[in-house]
Amino acid sequence: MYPIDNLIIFTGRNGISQKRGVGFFLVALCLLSITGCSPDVNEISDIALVTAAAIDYDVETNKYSFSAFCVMPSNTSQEKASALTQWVSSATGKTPLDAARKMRSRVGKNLIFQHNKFFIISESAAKHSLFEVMDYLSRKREFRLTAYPIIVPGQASDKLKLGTESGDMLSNDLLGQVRNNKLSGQDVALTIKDFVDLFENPTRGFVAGRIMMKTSETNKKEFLTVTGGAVIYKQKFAGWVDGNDVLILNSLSKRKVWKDIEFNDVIHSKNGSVFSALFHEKDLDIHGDIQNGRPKMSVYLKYTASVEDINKDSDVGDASVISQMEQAASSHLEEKINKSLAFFQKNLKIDVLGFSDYYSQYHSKAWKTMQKDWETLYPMIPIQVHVTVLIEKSGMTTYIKEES
Amino acid sequence: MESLHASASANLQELKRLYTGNELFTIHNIGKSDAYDEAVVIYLNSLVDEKRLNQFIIRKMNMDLREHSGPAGEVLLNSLHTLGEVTILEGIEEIINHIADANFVLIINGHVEAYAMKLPGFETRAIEEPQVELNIRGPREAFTEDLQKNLGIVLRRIKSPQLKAKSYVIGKDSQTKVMLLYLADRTDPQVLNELRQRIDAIQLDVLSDSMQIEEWIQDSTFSPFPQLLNTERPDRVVKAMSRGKIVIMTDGTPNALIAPSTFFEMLHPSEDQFERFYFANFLRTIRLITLIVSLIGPSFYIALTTFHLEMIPTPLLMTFLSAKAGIPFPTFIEALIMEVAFEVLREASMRLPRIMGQSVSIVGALIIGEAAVQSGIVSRPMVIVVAMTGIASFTIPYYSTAIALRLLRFPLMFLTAFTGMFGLSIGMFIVIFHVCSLRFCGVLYLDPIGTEGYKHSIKKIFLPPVRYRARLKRERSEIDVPNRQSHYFHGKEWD
Repeated sequence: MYPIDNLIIFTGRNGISQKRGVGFFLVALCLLSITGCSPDVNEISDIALVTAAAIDYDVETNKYSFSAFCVMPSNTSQEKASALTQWVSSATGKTPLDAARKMRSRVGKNLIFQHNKFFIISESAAKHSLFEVMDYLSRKREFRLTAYPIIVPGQASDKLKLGTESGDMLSNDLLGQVRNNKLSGQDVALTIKDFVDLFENPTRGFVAGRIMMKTSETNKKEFLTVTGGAVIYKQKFAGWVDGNDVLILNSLSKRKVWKDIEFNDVIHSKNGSVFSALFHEKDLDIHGDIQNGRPKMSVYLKYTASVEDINKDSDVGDASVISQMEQAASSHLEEKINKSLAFFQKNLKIDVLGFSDYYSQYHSKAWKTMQKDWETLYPMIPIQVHVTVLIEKSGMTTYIKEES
Repeated sequence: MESLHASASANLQELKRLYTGNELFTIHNIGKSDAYDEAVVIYLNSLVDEKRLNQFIIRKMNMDLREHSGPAGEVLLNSLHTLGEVTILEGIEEIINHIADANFVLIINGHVEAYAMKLPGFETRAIEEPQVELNIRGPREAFTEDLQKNLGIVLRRIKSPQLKAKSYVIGKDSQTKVMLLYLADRTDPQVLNELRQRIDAIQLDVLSDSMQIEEWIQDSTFSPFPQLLNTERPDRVVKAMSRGKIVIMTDGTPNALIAPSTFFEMLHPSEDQFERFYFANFLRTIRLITLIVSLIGPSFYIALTTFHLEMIPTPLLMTFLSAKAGIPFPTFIEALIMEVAFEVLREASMRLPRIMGQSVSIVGALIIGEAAVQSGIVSRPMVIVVAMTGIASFTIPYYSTAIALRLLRFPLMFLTAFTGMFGLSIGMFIVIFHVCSLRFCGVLYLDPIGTEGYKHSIKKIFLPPVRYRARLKRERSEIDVPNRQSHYFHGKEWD
């Protein structure tokens, strides 16, 4: 006991006591002996990353097959240039989990799924067993909810073995294509989270991502491209949608992707000139009414555009020329939208745009009576489309009339 | 205390007995006769300036004895008084203390007092530039081991009569002089009182460094965090006093202690005051970041790469993957090896003479940075993490705080290696709780955090331009006059 401890001190001494200090040190020492004992430890040298996975379903045998595109370093750290070994591993099982577990047990590395960005689901799995597959993907904690479930025509596992045009890793290439959606707006990248949100809705369908095979224009190699979409309705795959229809779908129902998308189109103007322009969606207004118990809708869209090329000399500085071009562009887009709406209503007969959501929100009383007849009502809804295009930029080259 | 005899020879006998075996003890007779001790001057040679003593003082006294009539004792005393300040001593012990403090003592037969005069003849270091707390702009004086010189430097900067100085003598054998300096109108009297009591309670044989005082008066002996700031810069001491702090200066130590100190003061070197406020605040932000990096750098890396792989972006994980391939050790062991190696290197370059120290650090950097990676013992990212952590800890201006952080890094690494981010959070909670609980004489260690709202805390941690600092002070003194002192430490001033 130090004499100072006996002093009358107006605030007591504090901080850490000798006992606690030594205790903390001893606990830390003990921890040293058990470091590494935790079952959660994943040493980075024992793992292989899964960057894409494929799920197949065989209707006849009623079996699932789970394939994973794995990546592992092939060199040791002494070498300066790092190379990655890539391989595809797969296994079949009675359920998606069964297949996945079998596959994991066969691999000599600890597979890490957290960095997986793509689940490629085969057409047959999407048609016959989509619920089981999605349930597994959304229930499992190690799959990120921001991964993209993408439907592919035909087999899914063999798609993993295809190379990419750039020679980059498959998942990087696909991710790049999803990112480049802003250039065309022709694909939908729906995450597992959004997929499952829409999955349960019985009245509306939705469009998920699609992967197609394309042959390269420079060599004869086949590679994968993310374009168009797969329609899911009543928890099953219901058909394919083309890129142009996906673009309209994006402009009519996905407000949050607009700010990125700038698509191009070729317009034939009434004065005979042909020009292409980049379009950027600014505003969307959807009105729904009910007349005689029947729904009726009108859609107002506003685009801004910038002219990129024109086939002949025209004075874009002239207001009348510009307004002519704007009108031509408006009617072209209206036509395009009408065509897509007709496809959704008449061919697919599935409410992929979510009009049913609109009615249940804004006309909830009427919706109660309409709900049971929605499947027959939907294809008959008259939809009026109004498009306004505002050309903001006409480029730097302008024709200047000389005043003589 | 043993009082003096009237007989000079009796006193002399006693002193001779005490100093038996000490050949430095010198007796010099004054007057004609050497046979009996009418008047003697005693001192420890090498402490006293012998040349001046013989050439001027003893010579003058002898001359006066010859020229003036009257009792020899009175003549000598008058002569001594003309030479300088004389201290009157009444006991043997006082004589001993004064002899030890570079005084010579005149003992006159028939007087029950002895007379001491200071005549230091030992060499001290000249005032030099600071060695540890370097700066680019601002004063370049540093304290030396000589308390008188140090006091001179400080007193030159504060001319207010409010500056008070109280001296203590600590150490039974060393009899070291300790000075308590403060500005009376700014210091919290409760803190001052408490500090005085604590200093009074110090029991030491030899006080060789201010560190001993620090250990004695701090609140929490077993905390890894330093609770008092020590500085070698007079400007810092002056600034601290103007903020109501108490400064403890110890003879023989080129460091002054500042009490009470807070954690954030230890993150701010005095140079912040001498830079433009933008840059000063930028540096303060950087130091806050490096504080965190130096504490949890390796632990965070271990947690990410062994437990939470999903938190690393995919391309970065790929890089880590290829860097870690073929490394035989788990990440934790790798980190431990590198951290220990780093500390060993740091210590080696500290202990070696300066010229060799540089070569050690170059060799060490080569070995650790290149050879270890080349031979596949540690991975490149780990080298980067450990090096970054080490460099980050060097940006903490106060050495003792940096040491505390370096030490805490290891238990945090153990915790993390066991339970990942969860363990790291637990460890950080323990550290933060501990730091929050620290106080010095009732002043919070984390002040201003915890004493004021977060807005005020942020204002206190960062610096406004000088003229706004001044305005804030004026407002404060207008508003808070009645109980200003008790509020003093709770962040009413800018540092």
